[in-house]
Amino acid sequence: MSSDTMLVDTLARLLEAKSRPADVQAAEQEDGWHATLWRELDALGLADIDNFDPEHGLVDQLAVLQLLGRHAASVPFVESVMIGQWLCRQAGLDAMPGIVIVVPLDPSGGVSAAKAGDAWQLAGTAAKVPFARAGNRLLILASGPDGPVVASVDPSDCSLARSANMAGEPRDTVRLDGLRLPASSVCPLPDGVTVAALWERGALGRAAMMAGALQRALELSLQYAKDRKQFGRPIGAFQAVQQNLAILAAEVTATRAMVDLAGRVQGGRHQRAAVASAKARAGRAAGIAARIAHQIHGAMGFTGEYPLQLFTRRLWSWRDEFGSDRDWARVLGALAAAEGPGGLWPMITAAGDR
Amino acid sequence: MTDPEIDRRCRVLREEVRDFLREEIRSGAITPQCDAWLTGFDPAFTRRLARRGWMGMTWPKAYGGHERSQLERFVVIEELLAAGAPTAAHHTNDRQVGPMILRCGTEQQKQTVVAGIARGECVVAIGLSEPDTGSDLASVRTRASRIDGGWRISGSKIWTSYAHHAQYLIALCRTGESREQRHVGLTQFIIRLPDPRVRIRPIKLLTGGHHFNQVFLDDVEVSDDDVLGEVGGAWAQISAELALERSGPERFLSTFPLLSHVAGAAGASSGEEMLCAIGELTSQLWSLRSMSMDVARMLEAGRSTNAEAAMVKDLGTRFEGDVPERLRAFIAAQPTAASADPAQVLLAQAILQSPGYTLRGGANEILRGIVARDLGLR
Repeated sequence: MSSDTMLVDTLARLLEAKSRPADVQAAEQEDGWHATLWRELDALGLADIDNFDPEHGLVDQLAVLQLLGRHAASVPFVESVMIGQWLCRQAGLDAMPGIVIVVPLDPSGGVSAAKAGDAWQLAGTAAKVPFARAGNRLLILASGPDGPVVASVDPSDCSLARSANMAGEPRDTVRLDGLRLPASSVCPLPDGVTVAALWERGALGRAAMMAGALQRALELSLQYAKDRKQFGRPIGAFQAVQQNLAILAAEVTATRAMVDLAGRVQGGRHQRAAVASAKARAGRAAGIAARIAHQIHGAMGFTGEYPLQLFTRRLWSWRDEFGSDRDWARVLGALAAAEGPGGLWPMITAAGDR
Repeated sequence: MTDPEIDRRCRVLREEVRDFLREEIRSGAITPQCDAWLTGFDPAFTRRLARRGWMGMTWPKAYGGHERSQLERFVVIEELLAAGAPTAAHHTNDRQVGPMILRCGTEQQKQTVVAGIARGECVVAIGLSEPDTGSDLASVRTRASRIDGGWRISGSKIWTSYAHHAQYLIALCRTGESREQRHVGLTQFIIRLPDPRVRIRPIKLLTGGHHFNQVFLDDVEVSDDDVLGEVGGAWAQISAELALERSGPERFLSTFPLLSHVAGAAGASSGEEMLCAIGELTSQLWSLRSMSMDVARMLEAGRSTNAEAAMVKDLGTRFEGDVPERLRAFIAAQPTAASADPAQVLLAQAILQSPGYTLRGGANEILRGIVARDLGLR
C-alpha cells in the first residue's frame, strides 16, 4: 500500500458514510467502540500492518490516523496496527489475526512474570489499557527475572474491568491473578524493542489523530460561524470571531505540519525528539482549539446532541494519553540540552526536509 | 517530491555557511544578537556574504545573481538568522527589493540597483508607511504629479528603516485621482539618495538604537525612467511580495539566539521546569519551521499561499515574544544590554525589541483578517 491518494479517498468516503456523529455516539453508548467500522477497515486491508508498504508504512499510517481522528472513529488502529502487530513483527512472533493489544502500555506498568518450572506465572494489574475489551489477543509486557518479557494471552484468561476516558473510549483495567502460561507463550522482549519505543509510537499515533480531530473542530466552528446569525448577520462577520477562528486555523496547521515532519524523520537520529515535539505541539493546540471552538459555538456546542463535543472530548483525552504535552516537552527539552552548546539548531534542521 | 541533487547541495551549502559563521563569531568579527536581521547593520559583513555568493542567490547571473534554487537561499537565510548574524544592511533588499525590480523593473534598474544589491554595495530603503498610513496601506497620500518628462513627488514616509544609509528610496505614491478605488492609481518610484529635496529625520527606538526615519519628500523630481513597474500598478506589485515577506524564517527566528543559548547551557542536571520550557519552545519552533518550508515549497510550485503565510507570521511572531517571556525565569539576573553575561544581553535584546515582532510586515490582527478571508468569513 503506498501513500497514494486512492487509499485516503476510499477511507474518507467510508468514514463519511459509516462514522457519522450519530454512529460515533451509538458506539459510545453500546460497546464503547465501533466494531462494525473496524470490520470495514479490515476489509479494506487497513487493519493489518502487513498491508502497509515498509518504505512508507508509518507515513501512510499517520495519514489513516488523521482521517480516523477527523471522524472520531472509535477503533484501535494505534493500539493494534501501530503497536500490537508491530511488536509481533519485532519480536518475531507469528502474525496474529484480529486485534492485538499490548498490556500495559505504560513505561511504569506493573505486571511481573515468574518462572514456575517449565511454565510462567503472570501477576499484576494494568489500568487504562486502551481497547483491551476489543482485543482478540493480549500481549502482556511483564518484568521477568532476567529482564522484560512479552507473553501472549487469551483475553478470556484475564479479568477485565471496563472503564473509559473522557470521550467514552475503552480504557480498561486488566488483572492477572497468577495466570499460568506454557513456555511457548512467553519470550524475552527483543533487543531494540523497549516499552519506551512502543509508548513513542503511541504518542505519534495520538498526535496524528489529534491533528484530524483539530481539523474537524475547525470545520465545525467555521460552518457554525457562517450559519449562526446574531445582530442581523452571521457571527463570523464579526472581527472578534474572525480573529479567534484565524488563531484556531493556525493551531491546526502547525500541528499537522509537525506531525507530518515527525512521520518523515522516523528512523533518523532525531526520531524521538520529533515525536516529542509533535505530541507536545498537538497537546498545546488541543487546549487552545477546544476553548475557541466552544466559545464560537456558544451553549449549543456543549450539548450532547451537537457533534463538536465528540471531537473536543477526544482532544482533551488524547492530549494526556501516551504522555502529556508536558511530559513530552520535558523529554524534548532534555534531548535538546543533550545536544550541547549550539546543538539545538542542527537538531531541528537535521532531517525531514523534503 | 524530493530531489536528491538539491538535497545534497543544500546539505553541503549549510555546512559551508555554518563553518563561515563559526569563524566570523570566533574571530570576533560578528557577535550573535537577537533581532539582528533588523537591528544589526553591518555593511562589511554584507559584503563578505556577497563575495561568497550568498546575496541574490536566486537571481539571474546577468544581474549579479547566482541562479540557485529557492531552497538553497532558504538554507542560507535561516542559518544567518539562527546564528543571530547582522544582516540588516541587506535583508529586506535581498528578500523583496531585488525580486520586485527583477520582476517589474527596467533593464537600467536591474543593471544598477539589483546588481548593486548582489554586490552587497547598495542599500535601498522601502517607503510604504506614512504618518496617517500604517496597516491600511492603500490610504497613502504622498502624491506624484506629472511634469514634463517625469514626476514631482510630495509627501512624507515614516518608519523607513535605514533611509539614512540608503542609496535609493522606493516610494509608494498616489498617481491617480480615484477616491473610490483606493487600490488603483498607486505607483512606485525609485528615488536616488541623497537628494537635496529629500529630508531624513531620525526616529530613535526605545532602545536608543536608530533604524527608523521619517522621510520628507518636498517636490522631489524624478524622470519617467524612475517609475518602478506600471504606473497605477503598484498595489499588485506589492501584494505579490507579501507572501514571501510574511512566511520567511525571520518571522520566527528573531529571538532564537536566546533560546539556543539557554538550551546550550542546560544539561541533565537542569530543573524540570527549565527543560519543559525549552521543550515547549522547541516544539513550537520546529512546527513553525515545518510550516514555513511548506509555504516555500507551495510558492515554488506557483500556488497561492496568502493564508498559510499569514499563519506563519501570526504564530511565529507571537512565538518570538514568548521566548523571552518563558525563559526569563531561568536567567538569574536582571537583564541588561550592558552585561558581560551573554544570556542577560540576549534577554534584554529580545525583550526590548519585542514590540516590533507582531507589528512589522503587517500587524497580526490584519494578518488574521487575511486568514479569515481565506476561510470564507469575509
